[in-house]
Amino acid sequence: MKIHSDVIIGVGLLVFCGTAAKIALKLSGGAEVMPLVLIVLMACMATIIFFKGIKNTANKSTVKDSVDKAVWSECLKPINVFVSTVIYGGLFYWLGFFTATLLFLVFLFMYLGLKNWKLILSITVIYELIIYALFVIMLDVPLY
Amino acid sequence: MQELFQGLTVLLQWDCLLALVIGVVSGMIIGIIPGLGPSAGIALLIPITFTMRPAAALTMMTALYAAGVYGGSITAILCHTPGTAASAATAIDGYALTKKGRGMEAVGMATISSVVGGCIGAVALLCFAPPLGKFSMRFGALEYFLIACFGLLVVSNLTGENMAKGLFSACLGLLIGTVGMDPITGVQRFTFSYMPLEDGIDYTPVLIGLFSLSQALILVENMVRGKNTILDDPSKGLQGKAIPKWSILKRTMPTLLRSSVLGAFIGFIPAAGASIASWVNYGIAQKLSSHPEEYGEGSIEGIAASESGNNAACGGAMIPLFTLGIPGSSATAIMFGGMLMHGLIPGSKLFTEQASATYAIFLGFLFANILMGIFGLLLTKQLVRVCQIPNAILVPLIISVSIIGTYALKNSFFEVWTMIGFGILGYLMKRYDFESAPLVLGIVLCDILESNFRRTLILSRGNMWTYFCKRPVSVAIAICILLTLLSPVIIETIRKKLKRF
Repeated sequence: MKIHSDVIIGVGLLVFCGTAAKIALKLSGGAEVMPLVLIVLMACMATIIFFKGIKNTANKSTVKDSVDKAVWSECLKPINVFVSTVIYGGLFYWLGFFTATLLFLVFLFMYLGLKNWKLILSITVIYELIIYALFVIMLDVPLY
Repeated sequence: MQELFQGLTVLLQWDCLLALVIGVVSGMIIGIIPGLGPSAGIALLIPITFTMRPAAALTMMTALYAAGVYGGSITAILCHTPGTAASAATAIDGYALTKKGRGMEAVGMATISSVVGGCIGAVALLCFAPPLGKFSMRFGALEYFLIACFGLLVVSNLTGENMAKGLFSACLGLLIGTVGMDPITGVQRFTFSYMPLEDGIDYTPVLIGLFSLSQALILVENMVRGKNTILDDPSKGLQGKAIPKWSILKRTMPTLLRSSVLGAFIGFIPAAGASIASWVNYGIAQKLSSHPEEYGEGSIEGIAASESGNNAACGGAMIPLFTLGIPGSSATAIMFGGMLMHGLIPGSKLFTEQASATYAIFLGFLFANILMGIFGLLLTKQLVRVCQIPNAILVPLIISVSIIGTYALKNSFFEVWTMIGFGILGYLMKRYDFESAPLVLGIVLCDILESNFRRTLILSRGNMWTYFCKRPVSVAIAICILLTLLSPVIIETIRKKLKRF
């Protein structure tokens, strides 16, 4: 049976609220009041989301299957771009901004379908020159 | 009047005029880059202004402040990447118009609104600085708490179609705002013994992640569906003109004037700032609009409200700075350092012995807003072409600029990882119909809300009602909140009665 994605989201949010409440209850001195009030409100909203998901599951015309192949195929490319962004962040830390950016931009331009090598290299070089002028020379940000 | 003419004489000298132009141009460039903003720009300018006259130095800083707030709206409208927190509200309707091919109209309206708001803020600064400065001293913990509540009212307008999801986002934003040290007791909350979290989570990386990085991922998803540019229908090209039609200007004029006055008022409240001014004005404009359903789908009025409000707040923020030495925002806090360095000590002397320099700075701020508008309108057509660039080129550049802009905040990778984390969260939120604007607003308002509420409880000594009734400013703000809540009902009742006649 296909279930609406809000059912899974509602359960996930309730688990999050439970975990946050467990951490907040360990606080003392009045510091726990605001977080606990917010967590209770969030749990109420999560419950509403859950029950709306149950209602939408019964109404078959509004169902979005959370494991539908078509939905996942749309998400695959953005997730790959996100993973490459995480790797870019790591490379920035280890190799410095300019080397990491060169590798990231060339890879991502090609992955997203740009095939003109001259365009890829010229955009990358111009972009890095602008960043160098603006951030390293003018703003004195250490990017190496 | 005499001081005004003296100020004008000082401003019209070549060094002040050059400082004005440099301030406006650099402000626009810095405002465009996500994460930098006017605060960073002013901090960078201070060493450069060492050898300048005080009037020229402060004119450059105030010009950069005004142009920086405006510059953030350009990328907010064209790429859904607000350069500053103050432009996040503009991104909602501005980007919707860009997708429809009406980016030029949106940027044009943002420019004109920024000029109108900035000029009204400048007039408030010129005419009302000393009396308003004394009034700002009457704002205490309860007043700040009520202002934050006023800001939270906006959340109800930002929840989108699913109110439960919108309210969850807002509560999540407030919860994220509690991370770090408790403002009253100093207890560590949700830090997991990780030192970078002890200062809390800065809202700038959150903003860049939620708006900019998530939007880049959405653009990639659009590419999978066959949409290769920002425009919904590339065959129609860019529509509209940079200067809005007279009928649109006439329709939005009440919103522009109201938002500018309110923005200047919010700006002069110390620590409120342009971002709160823009969200409050956006929310009020939606409540009072005869077409509230347009908000979020590309409302020109929404852009006018947020942009005029945030630029007016810049002028308002300088009132307590010059009169009392109390900065109205983070940018003015840095400007305070610049003032002291150039021998301008806030107080009555600035308006008597140093009046010519002071009024030159105020007039410089007014002219900076006008110059910013001229540059903005001239460049609109070229800037808007960004939305015709293929996503394959735009996406990697947006991601890289977001990372470098976030890193440049504190030269720290913690902010970069925060931004990346909120980027994927923002993407998932968009996929599953959770609005991200309430989350940002929650983070911005959390500290003001909680710390001032708890201070009020301590100051009132358990007798909140008596404490509240003895503070006329609080009563006035509470009445404004009630009126705003009830305004749809009141307006509808008045319309029905008028129809009967």
